[in-house]
Amino acid sequence: MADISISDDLIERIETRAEHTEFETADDYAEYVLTEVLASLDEDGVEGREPAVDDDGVEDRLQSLGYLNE
Amino acid sequence: MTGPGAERRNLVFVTVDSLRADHCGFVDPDSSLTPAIDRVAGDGLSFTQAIAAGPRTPSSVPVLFTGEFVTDDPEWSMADWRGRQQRIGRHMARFSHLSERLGAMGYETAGITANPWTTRESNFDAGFDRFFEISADSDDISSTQLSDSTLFKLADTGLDALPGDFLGWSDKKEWFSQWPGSFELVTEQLSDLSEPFFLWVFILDSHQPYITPRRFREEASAWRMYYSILRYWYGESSDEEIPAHAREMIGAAYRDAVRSVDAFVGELADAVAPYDPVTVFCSDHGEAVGDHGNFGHPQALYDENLRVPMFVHNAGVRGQVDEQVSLRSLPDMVTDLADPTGFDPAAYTDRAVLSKTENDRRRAVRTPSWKLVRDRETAAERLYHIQEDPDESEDVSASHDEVVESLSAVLDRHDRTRAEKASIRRVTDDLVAEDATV
Repeated sequence: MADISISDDLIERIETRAEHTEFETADDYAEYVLTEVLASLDEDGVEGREPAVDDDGVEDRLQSLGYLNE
Repeated sequence: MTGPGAERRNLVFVTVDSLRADHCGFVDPDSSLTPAIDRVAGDGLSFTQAIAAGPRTPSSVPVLFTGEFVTDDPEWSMADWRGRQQRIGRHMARFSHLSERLGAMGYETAGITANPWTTRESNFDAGFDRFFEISADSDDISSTQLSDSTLFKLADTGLDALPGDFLGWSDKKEWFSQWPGSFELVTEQLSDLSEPFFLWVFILDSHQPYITPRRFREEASAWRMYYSILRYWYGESSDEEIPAHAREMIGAAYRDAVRSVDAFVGELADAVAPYDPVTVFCSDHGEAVGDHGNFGHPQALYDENLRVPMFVHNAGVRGQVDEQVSLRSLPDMVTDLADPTGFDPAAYTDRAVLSKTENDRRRAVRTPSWKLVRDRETAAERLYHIQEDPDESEDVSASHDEVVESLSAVLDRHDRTRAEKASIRRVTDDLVAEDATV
């Protein structure tokens, strides 16, 4: 895992926001933000999946396994 | 060996659908259903308090591949399977997969999955060099291989076109997904993959309705097995209570399905041995067999739904871990096992483990002694003393305010985290949308 340097001021602001959350360190928080930003920038790739070829087939599979019931 | 994959161990990751912990002898010594699983677990590091992130595949497996819970969606509904599938797909694309992490470390990766939530449409193939969906409708495997069952063969050859398919077997070919049908594919991948490799195998054999090949059945004859299936299915669709004799038959059919899974683990252990991999084994969630009046895996957070068997084999460490571990920690654990030198299971244990149903409608926080379950819609909370009341039969929240307060704080902390993550997503989405209009 590589290190990236950011300013003390930024770290302080992150720590304030992350207080009382499950983000244990400023590193965790920063990594999460970067993951979201990059995922949003790459959103075309994310959404570009073709739908299932056989919709009825998928629905039958899920129905038969009880996944459409409470 | 040279290149970025040098010094890395081969990794085999096995997930079994709906295998409850207490049916495995290494978790509950009263169970004699799993001699092969117990032998392999006993030769490695076994976990007796492994907890799934959710009680069903959609709430569990995306988390054990990414370490992140799936984000809430106000539009979510159980019947909208396309929306649920797309939501998982977005999650899997957004966060780094276990397979992507290992691919970046120089692994050649292959995935073989029989569960319909873990398909290309839900982006589960990301990071896999080779990916195989096991179902009668898949192009990745010939449906003639999937099952020896006569009923399956009839269904597969177009029983729906005949006037005699009153029970709709042709829509239920998934019920016949049995591991022997795809085992050759597993051995082919083992011999074809370049080392170091990561092979993920996800089998469905212990998923309801528990249709098990004859050679693994010890309790349920064919007619009892099919009767229990139909009785179960009728009960599901009619909300009618399942009578005692059918409950017993369903339990027997499930135990036979567990025996089949055990046979799979025995054969797999032999097949992988020449490649000397580290093997990680777990179930994706548990299964109710009449517990709390439930069958299958409903949206419930009792221990029968959440406790799963888990072990790590051939990592140079043996023993039994009785502390809690969440399957949410698996992406880190499996990645670390690429080089298991100094592997310390304590790094993954957790005194307070969080589990949630799909779309966060219910969540539970579990400690070694207590479990608090909160329903988001009704705000109702139930507290169980799981050490004194392992069947979770009595809500003791009214008499243990301090425990409720302490565990509520964990759930509140999770809520704050969810809110912060939602804000981060909203801001990044807005920024990218703004950028696109410039």
